[in-house]
Amino acid sequence: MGLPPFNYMAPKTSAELVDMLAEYGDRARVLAGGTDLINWIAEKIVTPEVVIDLNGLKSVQGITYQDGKGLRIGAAVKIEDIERSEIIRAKYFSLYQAAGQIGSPQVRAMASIGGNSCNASPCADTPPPLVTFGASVSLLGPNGRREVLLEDFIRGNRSTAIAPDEFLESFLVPEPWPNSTSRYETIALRAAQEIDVASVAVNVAMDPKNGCIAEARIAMGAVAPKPQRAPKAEAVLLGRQPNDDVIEKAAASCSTECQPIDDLRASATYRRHVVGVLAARLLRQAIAAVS
Amino acid sequence: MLEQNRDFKVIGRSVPRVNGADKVRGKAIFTDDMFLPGMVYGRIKHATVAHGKIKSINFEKALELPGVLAVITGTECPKPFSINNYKPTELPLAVDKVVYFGEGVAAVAAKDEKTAERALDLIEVEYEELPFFLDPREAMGQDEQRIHPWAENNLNYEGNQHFGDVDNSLEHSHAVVENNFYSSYTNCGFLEPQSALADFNPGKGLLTLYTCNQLPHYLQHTLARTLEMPMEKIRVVIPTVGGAFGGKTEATPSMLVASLLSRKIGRPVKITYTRKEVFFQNKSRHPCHMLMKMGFDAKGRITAVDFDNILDGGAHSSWGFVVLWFVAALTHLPYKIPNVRYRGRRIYTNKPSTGAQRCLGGVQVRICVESLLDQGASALGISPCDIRMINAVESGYKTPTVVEVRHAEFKKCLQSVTARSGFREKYGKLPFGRGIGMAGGHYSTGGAFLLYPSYRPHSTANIRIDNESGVTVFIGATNIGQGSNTVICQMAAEMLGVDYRNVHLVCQDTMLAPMDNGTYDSRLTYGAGHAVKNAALDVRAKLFETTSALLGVRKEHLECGDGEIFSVFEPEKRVSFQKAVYQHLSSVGALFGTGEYTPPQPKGDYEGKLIGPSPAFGFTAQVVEIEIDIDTGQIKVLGYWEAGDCGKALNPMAVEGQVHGAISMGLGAALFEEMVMDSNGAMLNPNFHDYKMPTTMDMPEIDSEIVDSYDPTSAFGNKEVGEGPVGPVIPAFLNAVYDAIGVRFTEVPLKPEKILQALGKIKGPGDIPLYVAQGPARCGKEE
Amino acid sequence: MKQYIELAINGLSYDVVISPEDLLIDVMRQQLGLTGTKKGCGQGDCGTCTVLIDGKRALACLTLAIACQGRAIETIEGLEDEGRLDTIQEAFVDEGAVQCGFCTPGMIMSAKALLDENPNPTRAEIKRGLAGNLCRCTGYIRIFDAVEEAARRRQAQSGKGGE
Repeated sequence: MGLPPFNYMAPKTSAELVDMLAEYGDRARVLAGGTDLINWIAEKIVTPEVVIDLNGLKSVQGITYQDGKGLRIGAAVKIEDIERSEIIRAKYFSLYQAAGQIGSPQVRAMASIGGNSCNASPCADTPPPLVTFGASVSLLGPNGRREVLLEDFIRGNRSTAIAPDEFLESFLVPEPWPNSTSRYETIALRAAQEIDVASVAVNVAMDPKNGCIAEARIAMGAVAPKPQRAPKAEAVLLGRQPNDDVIEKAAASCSTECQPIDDLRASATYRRHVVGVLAARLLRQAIAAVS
Repeated sequence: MLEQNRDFKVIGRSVPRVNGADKVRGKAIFTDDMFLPGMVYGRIKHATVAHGKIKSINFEKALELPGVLAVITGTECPKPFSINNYKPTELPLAVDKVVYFGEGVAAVAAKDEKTAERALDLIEVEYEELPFFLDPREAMGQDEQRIHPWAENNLNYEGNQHFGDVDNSLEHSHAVVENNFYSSYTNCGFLEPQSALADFNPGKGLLTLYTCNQLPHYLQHTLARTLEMPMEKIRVVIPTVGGAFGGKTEATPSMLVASLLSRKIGRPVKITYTRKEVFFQNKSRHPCHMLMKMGFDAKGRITAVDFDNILDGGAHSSWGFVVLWFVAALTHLPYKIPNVRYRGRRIYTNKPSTGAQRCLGGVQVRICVESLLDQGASALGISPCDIRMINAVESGYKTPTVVEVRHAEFKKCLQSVTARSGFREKYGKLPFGRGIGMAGGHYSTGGAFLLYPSYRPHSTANIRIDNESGVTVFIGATNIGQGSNTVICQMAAEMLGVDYRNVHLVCQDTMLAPMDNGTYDSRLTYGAGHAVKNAALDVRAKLFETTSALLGVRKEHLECGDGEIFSVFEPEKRVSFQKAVYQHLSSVGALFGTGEYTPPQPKGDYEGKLIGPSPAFGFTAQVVEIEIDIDTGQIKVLGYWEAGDCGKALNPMAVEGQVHGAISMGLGAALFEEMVMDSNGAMLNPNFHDYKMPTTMDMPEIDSEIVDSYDPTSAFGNKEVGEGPVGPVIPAFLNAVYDAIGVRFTEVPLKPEKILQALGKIKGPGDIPLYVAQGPARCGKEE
Repeated sequence: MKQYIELAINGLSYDVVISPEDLLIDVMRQQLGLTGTKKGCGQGDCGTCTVLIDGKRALACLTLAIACQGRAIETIEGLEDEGRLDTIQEAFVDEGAVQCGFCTPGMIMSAKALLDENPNPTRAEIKRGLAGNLCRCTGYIRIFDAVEEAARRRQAQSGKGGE
């Protein structure tokens, strides 16, 4: 099945890309991996006049870590490179796990971390862990760069705060808290090639002096139009000893703090239930790993 | 000459496939890989309502689009068709009304696919929507809303059978169990979308259709009838087929449309379905709403089965009554059941039509029988493996349907899986959440009748031998991936003592190869086997006549092997096969042999007698061990064991591949697969991301065994193996789930949330899950 | 707007005229006679269109042909060496990993990518490495056996100092 016609451009510099976006605005779509975009064009979910391929830009590539500062990930970095990055596995474990959950080896080789956030599917895997790290996106437009917290950048199903004349250049992920670790897990029907029914990311820091939870962030995927934080669950955990009671309470709160829907893949009731199950499991794993 | 215990040279060996190298090189030609000079592309416009009158079709703008060569609608060929031409309802393109979302209403031929697609957008169709039915139980009560004007209460076919006295037998049974069961709406899921390349030669008036189809003989008949052309002016050629599983048995509308377009414009036209269109075409398994009652005596022997079956036929007739009767027939084995009553009703609904899918009719009935056997076992305090051994058939068993099971090693299969899986040690003894389940199954090895009234042979093979072309076997047999080409070459090679890789095969071409009944009902290796063996015996006899004179040896003493012909008693008297052939050509003339096969005539006389009788039956027994995550409901397979009786395995590696593939299809149906319709009657998941077939990470390792067996009625001892192993998979899972969490499911797929609902961890729709068995068995009544 | 581009496939340079929206799978199959790569779904769900681009896995049905300029594409047709089967191809035939053959080219390309990255994969790594390739015929088990065998044969060959 062929695609409807469009023009194709492949800028070599960010400046060129910005000029093109200034000219075409929302008549253009940016192409990175194409695993979402090509399907969307085929199904007429989007009908761009121009497809702008940003893979030639240097600024959207690379994973660089600076001790104390954190991580910069180019928007066009492939999911498989996220999965293979030693620094991400060492310091941002849940992001490594999320990358490994995505689709199939082929999709991981093609798809980009930028696309995963920009396309803003509620089921996307990399946004929840990134949200728990307090990650931001760096957007480049005609007026220069601006940073937006990822949690605010993704607004809802297929909706972000990106302006028509901007593109997502990189992710900035702060240095993790001391004595912390992170976990991510998904629920789906098959063991591969799946769109998640529900997912949970946790990021937990322990206070080594008193064994209490110093920091906690939880973000859930596929149970709301965007990655869903669980502030009440987090509040249950902060400053507390991580005993069964505390963890179960936090997990139960996660179940109430999401807004799942009934669809072809699962019911809202099921989704609510399993985010609680996942949250409890992941909190226990993370806490055990840090302690 | 070939006795049962003969030391075969190539039969029984796991030789690599003859087409294997082509396939791994990407050189095997599938239909969509073909391009003919002057070829253009066709595309079909699909209905966007589930049931509606076609008020108007406007295609002028499409015709004006540059690059468009023709546009047709249903009026071009308003002749309905079906595989067996019984109450056919399907048309190449709909006329007057559409009866399912996705039915074809118009078609375009254009210079390329892109142009053809754009032309489709320019065709305007107006519908007057009509009420539609997605559930056969609803459709059957509504006579005012007929999907097909002649079908009262939307009934396609009703069939009834009663053997013995079921009511009396049940009344006097020691235990009776019953349940409602539902088998799901699954899709064959072959990876190659159907493609049809029609090439009408106006100069000769000859239509050649290249397409992926399992039954070229019947396709030729359908084309002749529907296009109103003489059969000898139609040639069907089947290139490599990328999986079929029953879903490519019937003509697709695209085959007829491509032929019509080609005939209209005098150029080759290719139409390849998109994956969505493959789902719209469907023609896969019939979802069945079944009520089955089973009685047992105090010793655990089945006394009677009462079976009411409502088959969801979807929008068209397709295989129709054949499936209805197959379900009935397959009830009678692999266990002895003296009294059986069956009521089957195939009902039309406004959904993509159902037809045939691997283990046709078997999957549905196994769900019921294997579940009720376990329930009976529970009620009687007998283990599931023992109750099956008590009731298992043996060689020589005759069913109430007067079908003789001439050969069976089913008990060996049951014993094998019981032992290897540790079933006795595990059943009822594993911790909560872990369970083990068993199920048995069988399948026929070809039917006794063709799809139209005729007593002609079901398979004919011709063998031509000369020095210029070596050994060539001509047989209509169609390879769909199961490996028939390889096994036919093995058989010919065995009989003639040549290398199987040097045997040429002319097959799946209605002009060049003699008629074969087709690749369905697991008939091919058995049927072709007899035909090839008989043809080989015929040609050998002629060759041996000359060779005996050449060697000075009695012709009865001659044998072939390793490229030579020799005397078994005076082995020094030998000659190369080539030389013997040369001698024959020089002294007698051309060397040909022919052989055929017709299955034995069944003896029964009852409604539905045409379906069920088979010359041989394959058997299988399976065990699955699972672990359920009781917090998420997900099922993990810890182990899978299978044992099969396929008679002699002509190619054990190929047999094992068939068993693995069959189990993977069953596993997909048990855990993941179902097509789902929305409230407008449109399919929600006509794609492979939401119609979920098992991936590499979902398949367990399978411990399979081919039990020692040899069917003496078979040409080489072989019986079916391709379909039977699908049957036990679903009920093995259902039985394992019961062992794990004490809940008996009566439907699939076993989605995690259903497990949680059954465990009471989350609320489902309604108070009592419909898919869970109701009530205990009645037990303890004296005979 | 039609454009002339050059595509480097299996070490050969092809001149093609394409539109920007043309997919690599269609250009290869319909214009270049490279029908070894299959189109099972057109949506990236089945893996039958798997090729390698600059050594990385790619789904040709989701790849724009125009985006492939200057990149090295490998398809199933490029694996053999003057008609001699590659080790993975041989192992697939020998181990019974081929039934209908439709998934085979994509499966082999995925297996190649896997073994090139990980010459000695565990069975679990093989399953994961092929998770993007559906097969409806084999149930996968003999495919895993074939990849294990291919890995063994490749190791043996490199042990001999390369053939």
